[in-house]
Amino acid sequence: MNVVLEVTDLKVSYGQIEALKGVSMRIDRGEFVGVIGANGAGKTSLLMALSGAVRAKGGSVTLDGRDVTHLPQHLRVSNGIAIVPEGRQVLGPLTVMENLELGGFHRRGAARAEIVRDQEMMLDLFPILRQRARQLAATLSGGEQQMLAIGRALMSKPRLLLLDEPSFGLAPMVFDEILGTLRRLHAEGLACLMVEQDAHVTLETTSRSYVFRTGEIITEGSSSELREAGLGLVEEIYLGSAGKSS
Amino acid sequence: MMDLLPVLLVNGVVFGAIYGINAIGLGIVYNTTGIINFAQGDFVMLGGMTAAYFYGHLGLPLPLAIAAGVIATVFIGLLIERAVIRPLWRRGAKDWTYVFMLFAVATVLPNLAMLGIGRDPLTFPSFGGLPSVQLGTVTLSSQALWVLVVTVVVVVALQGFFDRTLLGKAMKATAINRRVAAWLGIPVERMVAMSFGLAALLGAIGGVVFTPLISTQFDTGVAMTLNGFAAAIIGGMGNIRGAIVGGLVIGVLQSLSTAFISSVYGDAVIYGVLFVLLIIWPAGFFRPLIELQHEEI
Repeated sequence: MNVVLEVTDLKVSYGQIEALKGVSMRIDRGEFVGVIGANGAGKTSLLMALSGAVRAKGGSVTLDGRDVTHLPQHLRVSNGIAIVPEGRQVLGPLTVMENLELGGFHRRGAARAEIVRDQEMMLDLFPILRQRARQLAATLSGGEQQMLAIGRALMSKPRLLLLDEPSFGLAPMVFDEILGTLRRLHAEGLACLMVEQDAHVTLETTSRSYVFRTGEIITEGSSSELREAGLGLVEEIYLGSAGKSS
Repeated sequence: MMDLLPVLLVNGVVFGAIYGINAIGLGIVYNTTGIINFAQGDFVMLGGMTAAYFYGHLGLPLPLAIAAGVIATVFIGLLIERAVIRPLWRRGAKDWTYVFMLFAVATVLPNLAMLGIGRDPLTFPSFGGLPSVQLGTVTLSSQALWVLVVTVVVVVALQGFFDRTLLGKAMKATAINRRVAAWLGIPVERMVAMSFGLAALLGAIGGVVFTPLISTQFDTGVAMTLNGFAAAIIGGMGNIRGAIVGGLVIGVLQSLSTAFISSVYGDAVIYGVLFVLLIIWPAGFFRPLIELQHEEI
């Protein structure tokens, strides 16, 4: 077995509010794992803690056997964790190529030619970005920005890719196209963790899923089994919440 | 009196260039931190004072004294970031806390310069090496030419740094969105430190090219901060070209109003004109890099 990410009893709180109450999970190499849950279930807190944007109050996170729980945020990237943040968050005033280049910031010791080659690889992965290479990222459509955000994260050569609400605000066809690319990537060995409010999308996309509610994992299993558990489960997840709107 | 006009214009441009360099320094710190560095003008003062001290008191050769003055000022800039900004940053201080502490720094630095170097105005000889230039009826002195040449070099070098180098782009990314920059693996704290170092470098360069024109005194920084701030606002905060244009506007206005109106009412006139300009262009002549979309530090 080849464990990429091991999370043990991870706790996160904001002041008095406990956002994660001791979560344990595992992602293997080449696995596409989903996290579903309603608003405030702790999904985003999980990604914040994994990417180092917030500090863990307790528990541990290991990546490829290395403890990264207290690693400063900028060193997480060089250790192999990259994030595609919610709402894409491309750097609008910079060009597509510059966004990609900055995704590889931690590789600044690498040969320039290598970075350029990887930028080209991203443009091959998302051909529509090639036509936009010299444009400012702010001028891209939502789907194109999502592709750029993924390409930018991949520029760091991650072992684990975190995806925060990647379907948000995208037309289903555009998102399907992006998913196709993501599936190819994880087939090549990249571990992905996708956090989504849309349970159907997540369960159809991923091989295994964790279901979060109020900062805890209430159930986990193969996504197909969870899907067969059917609407009952999904309703349970969102019961009393505002549903899928964010 | 109109015979004076060309001389005043040239004078205004030369001083305006220094304000412009200062405005760039303010803009760079603003971009990475979202705060106005009220000690910016003191970097000008420190550059001039320390270089003069190294030259006059320690007897270093002029080029060496100038280099040492610039290096000492950059060191002080980095020290301010490390001692004042970073501890507050790590504890999640509010913007106004930084502004207040930088006010404090801007109060303490002149006093330290006065105690350490002296209260008298200091100067050192012109750099030489460049000719003086005859522009119609006006003579542009060799040192004034130095000011203009250095300003152009600074602007071109900075544009190159921000547009062509990865580090420059990373600083821009930090300015655009700190949270995202951190997610990309950019060490945001180091970018902030660099912005202070760069701001001090710019101030010091302004200080050493400007000092031979007249002199520098421990309290020169206040006016330099104010004029640089005005230039940055007029030009569009954080915009390099805008900073220079803003600096030239302030420099020329100042030169003309002092001569034609009076040194007493001169400032009031300048601020009156600035007010009118800002009513017309509230965000300055050029677009700021970022427009008040900062998330919490």
